[in-house]
Amino acid sequence: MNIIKILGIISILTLVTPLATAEFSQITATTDITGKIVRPGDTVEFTMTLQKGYKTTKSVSVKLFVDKKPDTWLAGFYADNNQVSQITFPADSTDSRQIILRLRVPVNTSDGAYLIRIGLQPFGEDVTNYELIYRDFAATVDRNAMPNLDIYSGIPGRKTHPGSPVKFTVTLENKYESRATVKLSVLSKPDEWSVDMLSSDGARITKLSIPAQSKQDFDIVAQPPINTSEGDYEVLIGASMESGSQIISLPLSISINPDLDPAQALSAYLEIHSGISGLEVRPENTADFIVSLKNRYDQQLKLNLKALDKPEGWNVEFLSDTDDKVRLTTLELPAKSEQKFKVKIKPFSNASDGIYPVLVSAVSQDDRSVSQRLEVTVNKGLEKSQILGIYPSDSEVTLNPGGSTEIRVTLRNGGDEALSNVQLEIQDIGGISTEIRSFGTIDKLEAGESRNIPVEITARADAGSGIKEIFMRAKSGDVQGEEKSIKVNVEKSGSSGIAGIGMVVIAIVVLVLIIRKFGRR
Amino acid sequence: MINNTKNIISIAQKEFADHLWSHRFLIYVATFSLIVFVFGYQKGLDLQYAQRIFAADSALSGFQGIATIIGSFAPLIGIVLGFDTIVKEVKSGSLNVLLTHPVFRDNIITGKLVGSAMTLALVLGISIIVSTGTMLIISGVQVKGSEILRIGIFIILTFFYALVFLGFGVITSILVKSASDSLIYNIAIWLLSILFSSIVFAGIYVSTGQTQEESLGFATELMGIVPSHHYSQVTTGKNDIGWGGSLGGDSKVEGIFDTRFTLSQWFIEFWMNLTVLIVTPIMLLITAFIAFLRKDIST
Repeated sequence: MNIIKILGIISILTLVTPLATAEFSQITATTDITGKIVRPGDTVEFTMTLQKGYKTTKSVSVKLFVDKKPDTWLAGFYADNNQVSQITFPADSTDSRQIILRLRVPVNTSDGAYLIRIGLQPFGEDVTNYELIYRDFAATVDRNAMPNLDIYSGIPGRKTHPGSPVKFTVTLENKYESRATVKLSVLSKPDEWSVDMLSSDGARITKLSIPAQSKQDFDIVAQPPINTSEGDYEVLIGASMESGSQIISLPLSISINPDLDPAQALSAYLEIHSGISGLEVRPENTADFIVSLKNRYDQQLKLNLKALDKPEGWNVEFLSDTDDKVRLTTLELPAKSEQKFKVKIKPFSNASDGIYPVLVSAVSQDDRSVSQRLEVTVNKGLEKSQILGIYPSDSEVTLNPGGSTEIRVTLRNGGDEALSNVQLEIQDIGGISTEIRSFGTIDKLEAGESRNIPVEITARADAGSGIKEIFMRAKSGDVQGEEKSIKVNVEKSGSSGIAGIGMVVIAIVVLVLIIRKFGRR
Repeated sequence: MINNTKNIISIAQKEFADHLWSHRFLIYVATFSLIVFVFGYQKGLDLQYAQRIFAADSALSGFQGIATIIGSFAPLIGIVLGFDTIVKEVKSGSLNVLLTHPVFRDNIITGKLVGSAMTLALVLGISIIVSTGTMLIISGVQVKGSEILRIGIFIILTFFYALVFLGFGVITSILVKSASDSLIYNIAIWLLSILFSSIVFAGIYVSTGQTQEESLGFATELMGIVPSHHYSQVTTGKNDIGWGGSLGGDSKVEGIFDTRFTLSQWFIEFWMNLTVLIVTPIMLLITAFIAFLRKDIST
């Protein structure tokens, strides 16, 4: 009985075993990761390894298809960066193939878990089992998920000088398995600083498109203002996916060293300027320019004044703008201050007519300089009247009748010889009187010397309304200066008219009252 | 005493009213006011006048011109008010009638003097204020408080100056027998006062053969006896009102309207002239008072 049972079992096993062998799959599909977190707009990839069944010696093909996915999602199979729909494993080959399922998550996808099911259908001459193989993948959409980006700089901290730009090379890494477009922004910076994001070719950029699993460099150039104080400052650079809102940031640290940047031009810290940069003189006269130096730096600057370029035989002097007797060679210019000085240029006595440039400079202790080009036009035909210059402090004044004001008239000897008995002559006109307050005649006015004369202008009590013009001229012997005029606008006072009416009315009222009170006979 | 005061006030008020409604007086006051008014109006328009005559910077320069005009014609107000004050009462016999009442002579003369002085003050005050107001309206000159004060002092000075001639007028009206004689004497006094400097200067220059400067120096010393000299000094700083030429003036302060100097400096410069200008009318009025008390009032 037992033998019969054993034989029966053996017989069954004998019958069943060939059937079981025939049922072995010709294709195996394995995958490690079947679930990923993605952000809307991301492209997510799942990798599978396909391999022919080890007992199969014949050629086997497998057809790939997406069985289930959210409607709006895009999906595809890729092998060796090519989109594929079926894979064939040659006969006698045992190699495995990597297949990538690439899914594009639409931007408007809501947060949540989504199922993607793919199917594999083997076929071939040796294939007897036509059953489909299915694999499930899960994609969890989460808007708050950290993007697969990284931003960093090899040197995130640098030291610089006020006014000197500093450059950082920043690397942006795309860890996605697809190309990513990344928005760049400056999240914060110190006030008045300028921060630029530049590509390798120097162009300003706002976005970068980075291939999958790769990185790209760009530059950050931060420009501290010239008046930046000593200290540490931070610039915060942000990067975010074009479609996302999550931002990753990179702090860049900048230390300011208040010392002058040796690589920076002095003009970055110091401004030299002349309101009048060209004057026409006779060769025997001097040309006086007022030049201002403005220190934009937050430290005091010590500067030497020099004429770096001038015609041969010419003389250039630097003088105080308030006192011609004070010659200047060096200036101590306080932080963020401005100082004016006079540049007196004396042409060569035999200089011919023409335009002559003179380069005046302020030179720092380390021999850096800022310069102002001044042009002196020598003109022997220039009228002598321009030798004796006259410069009123005001060109127009407004007065009430009976009112007065004081202006200052500057007389200047533009020649190279002293002038004696210099007089200011003022032509009075109806309604306006003038009085020279200080003196009548200047005994001697040295060459290049200026003198201020206070002049009181009075509108007579009976002056009519309107604009009147008084003319003035300086005179010394046969040298007559140019004529200048000052407009005097006489405006009648309305209050005095009211006061006058009031006086008349009061007088009449008082008269009437007295007559009524005491006039009875 | 109370009755005396009441009597004086009554007579003064009546004298004041008589003057106000007197045709002769009204015509003169209207003429005087018109002159001053027109002059003030011209000051607002006439540019050349100020340029030719005055050199002061102040807005008050125009008032110096008014001072000249007022200084010339204000004495006539005093004369008009005073020349027949007593003589007409005597001639009409009303003085005798008045004295039959319990009113004394001193009441009468005091009341008449006070009434005339009040009228004089009113006329001068009103005419100067109106002319000043006119000038301000026309010219648009800005006037400060200190300048208003100077104008007020000018009115008071002019009052005392005119009071001198009122005193002369009252005295002559007491001394002479007819109003026409009184008027003639007063006009003569006024003309002498106005032209005194020129007459004296011309007389000395012609009669002595001295140089102009020497004659002028001597004439200047003599001018102290006429009130117009003192009035001219304190108001314009010149030696005389100047119909025949002002004969210059060595004062550094050009009168009350010279705003370069303070009122204290003005007072220090002219205190002697001020004293003469104030004391003279008082003395004349006292003289008139005494003369009336001693007068035979029978017609």
